Amino acid sequence: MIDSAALISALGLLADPLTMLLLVVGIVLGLIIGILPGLGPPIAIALALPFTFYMDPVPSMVLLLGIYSAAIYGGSISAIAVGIPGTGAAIATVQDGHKMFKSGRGGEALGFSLTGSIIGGLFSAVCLALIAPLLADLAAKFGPREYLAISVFGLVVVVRVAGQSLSKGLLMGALGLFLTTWGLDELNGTERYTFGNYHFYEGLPLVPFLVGLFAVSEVLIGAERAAQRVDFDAASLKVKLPGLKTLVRMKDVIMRSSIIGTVIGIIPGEGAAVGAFFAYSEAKRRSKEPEKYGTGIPEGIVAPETANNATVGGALVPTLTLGVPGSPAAAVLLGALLIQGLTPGPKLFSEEPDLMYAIFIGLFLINILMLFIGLIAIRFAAQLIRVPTSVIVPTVLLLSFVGIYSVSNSFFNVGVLLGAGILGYVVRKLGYSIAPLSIGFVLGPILENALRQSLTIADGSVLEFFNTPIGLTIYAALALTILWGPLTARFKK
Amino acid sequence: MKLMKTVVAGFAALGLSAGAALAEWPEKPINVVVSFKAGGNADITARIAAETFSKELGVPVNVVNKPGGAHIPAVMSVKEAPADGYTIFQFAPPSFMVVPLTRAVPYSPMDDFVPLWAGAFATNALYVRADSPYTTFEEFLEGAKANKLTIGVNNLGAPPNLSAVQLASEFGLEFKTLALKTVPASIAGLVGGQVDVAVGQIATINAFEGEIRPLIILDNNRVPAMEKHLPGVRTVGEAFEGKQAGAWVRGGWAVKAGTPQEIIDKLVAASAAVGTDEFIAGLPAGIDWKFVQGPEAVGKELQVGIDLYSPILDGLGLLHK
Amino acid sequence: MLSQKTANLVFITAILIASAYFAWVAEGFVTSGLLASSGLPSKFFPQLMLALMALCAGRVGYLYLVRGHAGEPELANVFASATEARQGLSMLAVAVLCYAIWRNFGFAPMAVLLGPISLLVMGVRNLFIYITVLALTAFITAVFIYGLGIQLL
Repeated sequence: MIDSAALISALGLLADPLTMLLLVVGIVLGLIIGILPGLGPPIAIALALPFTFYMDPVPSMVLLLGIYSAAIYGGSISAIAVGIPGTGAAIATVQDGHKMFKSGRGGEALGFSLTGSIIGGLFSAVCLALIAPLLADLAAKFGPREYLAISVFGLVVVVRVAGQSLSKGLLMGALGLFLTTWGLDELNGTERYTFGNYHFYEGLPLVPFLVGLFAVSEVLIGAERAAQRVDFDAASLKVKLPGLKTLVRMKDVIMRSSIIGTVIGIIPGEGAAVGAFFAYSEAKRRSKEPEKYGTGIPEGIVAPETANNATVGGALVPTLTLGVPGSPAAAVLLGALLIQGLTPGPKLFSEEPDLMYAIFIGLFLINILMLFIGLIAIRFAAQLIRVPTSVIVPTVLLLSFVGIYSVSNSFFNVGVLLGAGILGYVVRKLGYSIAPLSIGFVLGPILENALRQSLTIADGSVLEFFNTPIGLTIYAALALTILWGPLTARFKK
Repeated sequence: MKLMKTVVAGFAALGLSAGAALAEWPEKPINVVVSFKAGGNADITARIAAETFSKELGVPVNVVNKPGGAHIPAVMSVKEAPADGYTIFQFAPPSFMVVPLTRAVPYSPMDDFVPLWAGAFATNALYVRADSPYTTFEEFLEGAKANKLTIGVNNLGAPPNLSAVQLASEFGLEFKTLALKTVPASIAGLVGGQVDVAVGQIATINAFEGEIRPLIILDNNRVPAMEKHLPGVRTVGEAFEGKQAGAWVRGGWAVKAGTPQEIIDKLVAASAAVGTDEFIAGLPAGIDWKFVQGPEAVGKELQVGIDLYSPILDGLGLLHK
Repeated sequence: MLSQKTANLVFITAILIASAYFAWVAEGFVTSGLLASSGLPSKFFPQLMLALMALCAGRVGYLYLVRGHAGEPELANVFASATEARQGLSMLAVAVLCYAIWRNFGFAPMAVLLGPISLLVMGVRNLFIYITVLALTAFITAVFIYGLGIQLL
């Protein structure tokens, strides 16, 4: 199965000093951009794209993959240390990560997220290398009916992250879903809630909305207690990577999250944020103490962080084998390949085996190196707890403003950021969780389009509506996860 | 070292714009607004062209992606920017053709903009899976009349969708239409069995050779690119005389009307660099190029599109009046 | 400061009114021509979500009215003290104000004012903090303009 000649030639391509340097540069750049609120992996890769015009395919892919992986990981550093997700991928990490940081276990929390990210990244790199062509079939089979099944699964996730009051959580989830219907209807161009203003044609943009919801509301809550000092003991400043024993204890969570992340990554259009939320909710469901999730526990960090980095390798599967990007960031990566004169698609594997191997090994190396570079970064991040809240408040607000503006030079987006921030502040003050609101907002467009296009396919036939083996498998898994608890409880009696 | 040069040029340009006034245009970075997401064909051509313009003009040329909202927010961001040549719009069939023809928009492509050049070119073809029972267009027609087939297009209202609608109305067919967002995604959906038939571009075959089979080119006028990608495949007009088919897929750059003539002249002159054989050779395999230079020539191209689509859309009851 | 019960009941009322309003707006959606393909109309999904919101809001409101809380062991009040309320709400005003300054007068005045005004409303008197925040402002601006090539000025 393994083409050894191509493997050796791939190693030769990677062993170039410039390529190795670019690998490090990519990780550092990605990390910085990931930490900044608003600027996520797609924009990070797009910023570096012009430089790859002058490079060979292998160094340019290594640079961009380094940026991609590190940007997804970097988002968790600000999520944990400041309570604002640097990228959408980190929104599921905020809850437990920031609570743990504030309770004086910051160094530990950052260590958990780094370790989880590396393991997830490595797992998906191996999956990509070994079974990409097999997985590509899965990606090609995903149509509206399959997306609908995944979205229904997502709705159950909304319920699981709803917090202690189901009604309040569902209200937020429904609000998130509703807000995605604003703008032109993708399927027929109908204007929905555009208020006669063309800016609303594109609807409420995802990234400004999410950053506002989390970062701006966090800033406002921070401002309330700016004068109070956060208590911490010096031990929390020290970064601690979890020991082998801890990892063995969490092996189930890590394994499940890696698989969830990789699979969600493969499905075109479903990004790291969805993968992280699914893994978080699954870890919570399987836990013996689900009520502890959200109070600042390591599993609540490891699950989403493992999953979001596992989406990277997963997203590359359809990107390389079908030419259909698995995530927005992978879309830009696909562009980089096209610029190199390569044609991602079913033939790429047979035509460019050495490039493929170089990408697999490169992704593996990136994750190993990210461990070391990440360690340096989180040493600094752990110190952030010393910074007075009064400094963090205006700085983060300015960063969010500039970060969001710079994505498309749009004041409208800054307005959305602010509006979402005020909404987030109000609902958080009233005892609502913003997690279901954000997951609803991420899932909304997929759910609605999948539902409507599934009905178009079915054309009135119920049989045709459910004529989807993959979809039925997902529905069955869903039924099982819902009924598992009650059934086993019954059985034990 | 070119990389260093670009960076140095960027810094120099920023320093200049912040400092003393320099009368010579361009003295600061130029933005090119692209109404598509980063990574697709439109974005790639913009980035490659931007790099070439940057070398010609000596300042950085940045690509800004403003996707969504039927391309209207992207067009408006250029219309509302000053007419100083620092904001350029990359036009495409939806932004300059289909959307203004089908709905009320707060801009007019012909009156509010001055086109500089056009490059990207494409036309559509109808594909089925390689193992499909339909080996010819005639067999497909019979099958499509007997059963309501599912057809995959990228977006509703985009040229592939309009080609499909035109096909349906010319031959009296009925389809279930699925919008799969991008052309590669609709072809991948075809390969994966999501749809029975899909509309892609003639160059789409390059990525999926062996997996899909072209049935017909959804156009009437034969151009050299058709023979290059799909040798021996007939156009609709060749297969059935009198049946109409056509698509207008062009891309290029425009500036806001009212931009000083000297700046337009400089930009048009610089655009010669994206029409050279060397530039075209560096483009990805999936992009065809038909270079046209200058406001007048590109304006004619736009008029061709309007003349093509107006009657089609009118016949479908979609033309905005 | 402001009991959770009162604030939540006001919020629920606002949600119910907004749901009704948006559901009514959805009735006026116009889909043009042939693109109105078979399947669900554009208004279906938003109205379904609004109905779900109203249902949940109704239940939350009921819980507050009957039990005085909605399941979470939360604090009785929205704000712990008058100071907290003042600082949080004035920071909100500062954020909106700075957005307005940016739109009307450009980036530089906004960036210069954002830090000091925020610190003022938060009651910070330490000069060192003012200097730190301004230095960070300059640093962030430089990173975006020179590092990422964004035209802010």
